[in-house]
Amino acid sequence: MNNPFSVRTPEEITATDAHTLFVDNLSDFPKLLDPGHMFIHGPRGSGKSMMFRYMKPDCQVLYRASALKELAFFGVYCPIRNTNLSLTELLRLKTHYADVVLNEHFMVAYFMERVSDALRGTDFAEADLSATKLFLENCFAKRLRRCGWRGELPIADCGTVQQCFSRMFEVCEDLYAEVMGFIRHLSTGHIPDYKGPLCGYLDFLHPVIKELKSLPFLPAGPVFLMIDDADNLNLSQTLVLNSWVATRTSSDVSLKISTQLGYKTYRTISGQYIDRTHDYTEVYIDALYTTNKSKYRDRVREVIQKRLALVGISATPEEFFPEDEAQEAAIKKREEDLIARHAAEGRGNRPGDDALRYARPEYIASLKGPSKSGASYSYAGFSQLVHLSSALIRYFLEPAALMFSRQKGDSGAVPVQFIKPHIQDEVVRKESDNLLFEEMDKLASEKDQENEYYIKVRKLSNLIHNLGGVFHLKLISSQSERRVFSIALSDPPDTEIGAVLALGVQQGYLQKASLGNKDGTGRTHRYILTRRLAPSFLLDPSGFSGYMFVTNKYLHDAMDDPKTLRRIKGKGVDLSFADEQPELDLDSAL
Amino acid sequence: MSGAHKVPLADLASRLATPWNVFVCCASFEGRCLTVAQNLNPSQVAAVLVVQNGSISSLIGTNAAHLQKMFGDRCVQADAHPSNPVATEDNLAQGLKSVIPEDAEWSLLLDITTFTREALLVLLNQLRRLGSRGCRLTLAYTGASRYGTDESDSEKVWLTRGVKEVRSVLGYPGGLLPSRKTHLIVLVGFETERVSSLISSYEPAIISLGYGPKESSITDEHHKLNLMFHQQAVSLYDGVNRFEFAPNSPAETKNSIIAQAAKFPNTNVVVAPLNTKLSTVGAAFAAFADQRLHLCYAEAAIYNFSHYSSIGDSCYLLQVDRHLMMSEPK
Repeated sequence: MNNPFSVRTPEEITATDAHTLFVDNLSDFPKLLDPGHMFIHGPRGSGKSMMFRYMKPDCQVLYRASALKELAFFGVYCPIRNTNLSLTELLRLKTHYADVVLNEHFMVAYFMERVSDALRGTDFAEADLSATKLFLENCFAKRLRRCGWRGELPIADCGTVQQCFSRMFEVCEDLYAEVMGFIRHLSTGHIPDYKGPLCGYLDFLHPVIKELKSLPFLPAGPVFLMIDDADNLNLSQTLVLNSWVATRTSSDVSLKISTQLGYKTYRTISGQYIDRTHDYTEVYIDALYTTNKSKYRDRVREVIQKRLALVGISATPEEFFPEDEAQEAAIKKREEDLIARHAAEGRGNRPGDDALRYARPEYIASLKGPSKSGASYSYAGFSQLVHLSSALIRYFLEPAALMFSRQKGDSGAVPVQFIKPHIQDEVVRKESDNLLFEEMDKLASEKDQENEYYIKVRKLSNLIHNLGGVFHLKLISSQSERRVFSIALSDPPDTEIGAVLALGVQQGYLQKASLGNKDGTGRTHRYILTRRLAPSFLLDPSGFSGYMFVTNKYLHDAMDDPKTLRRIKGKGVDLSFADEQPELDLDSAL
Repeated sequence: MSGAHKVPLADLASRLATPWNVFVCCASFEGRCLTVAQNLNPSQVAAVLVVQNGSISSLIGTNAAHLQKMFGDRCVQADAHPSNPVATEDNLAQGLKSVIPEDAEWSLLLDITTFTREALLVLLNQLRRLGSRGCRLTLAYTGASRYGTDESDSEKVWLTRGVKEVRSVLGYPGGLLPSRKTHLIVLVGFETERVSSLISSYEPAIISLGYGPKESSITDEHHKLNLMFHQQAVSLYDGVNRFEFAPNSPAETKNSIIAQAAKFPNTNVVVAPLNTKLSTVGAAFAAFADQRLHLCYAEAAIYNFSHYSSIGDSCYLLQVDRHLMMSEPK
């Protein structure tokens, strides 16, 4: 039995499998399918690449049950990986006068290669051979020659549109290979003269695509260049891409640009910033699903159901990932007790609020703390696993893949029908421990002071340990709001705090959101600890939006002094932090 | 080419007792960076290039000073910056230029033990470019008796944490084409976190994880760890293959990489050497032989400076056949 949760590169998934597996969340991002330039931001594993895969013509034709030319757009997938556009040799051009021009040509060569590869791989019914040949001779080859190309495009003997586009692809691939050959010679520092063609967006890529899409068998709408992981572009390439965004040619070429929150700049070559209102729109995937957890849970549920069905498992996600029955029975009993006591002692407006709020924290508090001896809390169960994944589907699938593999090992020849709770719990605990830099505590603070990155990482580690520890103290306290998973900043963060928090977001330890500030005079940032760390700090991963306001001073103390947590423990969390009860966000409670 | 000869440290001085035109080594926080130098007769070494990472001068200063003192005026320094590969290339090139003689034939002893893998690959490429000038190259590698000496539980041994950047190694861009699938070949060592970063970064269609055979593992626990990691990789990813290579033989490593690459023709082959420095040399040889191979490097964020390794009891010596340093026409 294949592992239903193993990671597959979206590019390698066939259209049929993608159509079977994909849970359509494109409607969550309405402008993604509209003409127009767009940035889609989200950490690795948030599903961006899969969305792009689904926007390719072969999937869209299946999904919409329509002919290719009736589609609203023609999507071309353009991943930016270390195997393309991102070579260390290009650093040599940084101070060279032709840096921008050469990088732009490299990008155009790459994108044109992707476009031509997509065309040659598409099955065009009712294609017009003569129109294709005219386009290739009068537009593609002609414009390429104007850019200095001296080659030939032999299409006279081509009997099909497919053959024509294959010849086009060969030219584009040679163009790309020629640039790679030049780049190879940059490693030594001697920059040879470049004598090849130089193609730009405005004089080649855009007009060729504009003419291409007017072919009668292609969609009338724009060509979407789906640029995945644009963080991997170097600075010059990023400036170039932004300059393309600024040209407002989106009715012909719409740039759909995904990033992993590390996009280098929004400046163009001329130094101007691209304008969010006029030039592009943007969306943050994780922010959407962090604030709308029921939508995320529904998506995960659909994904898991489809993946189980694909390998012949008929169980529901809840049946496949069962909870620890004894634990849930004990928590249920506490809920009933709280409901019964609500009239006399209740804090919330309704009995059910108290049950929801306090039953699980009280159960956790009744255990022997976060030490490894004694009864321990189990993180098994589909619902908890969804919470632990912190609104990123990858962090559900990866542990699930490991769980399946272990269960399969335990089950022997018997097909896997569910994952035992202890296996679920052990895997997520190990993942949590791996994420947390336990070893950081062992490093002497006086070592390697010149390494700025190391200093930032150490401060981040101290901060994460502090927050996790404080959140646990709050969970087992008698405060009215115990399920706290985030901090909100009372003051604007200073430079150092900003840098450490940004690193935390980039590395996936924290997620960033916003909310109204304490004074009610504006908005401030909220930083949510990733729920993936819940097992390491014995936290309840389920979803209230509890947060606590902290000052810059508190954050500096937490970052600089690992003993801060000990002092809070000594003083008591009740005295250290006000018992604030922000308005419950019940939509986020699952 | 014969394999590397394992020489007990007690015999190293006598094995190295021959005139050397050039000695190249890397000053490091590891004590192993001094082992070969301490077994040389300084009067038999004409010129010395000491490579060092200037960004951690407080950690390597003592060892760097020791090397400087050993060789005095014959010593030239070159800075290899872990986050600036262009500066590393230029500094190493400049350093080599200042120590390599004009003679038709000359000998170079290269202590590869404590170079970063990236700096070592860059240096080898530079030596390859100089190859026509008649270099007789000998490699030396001091083994470690233990890694991660602060941890007795082998599952918790760590050498580095975090990955700052994954990038191609300067001089080894390969012959990549966008339309081809990516085949990632990793020579797996201790640092599985770096392997995961590489897989996330390249998103390969095919993954080949290379392991040393059990008998060549440093410990049985290490071999067991490798098996566990492989099982995890197979659980997580489709298309994971396994192959063996000889961690202590550059020539055999070269052949293993080329053979593994040939199993999946018409792919973009990306090679990540994460095992011994000797096998890293093998990766360089493979790339010299087949310039379509793209070598990559995952720059670590943090090193276990205080407890990285302890010195072993032997040193590997290997005289490199010139043909291994040449590019074969394709």
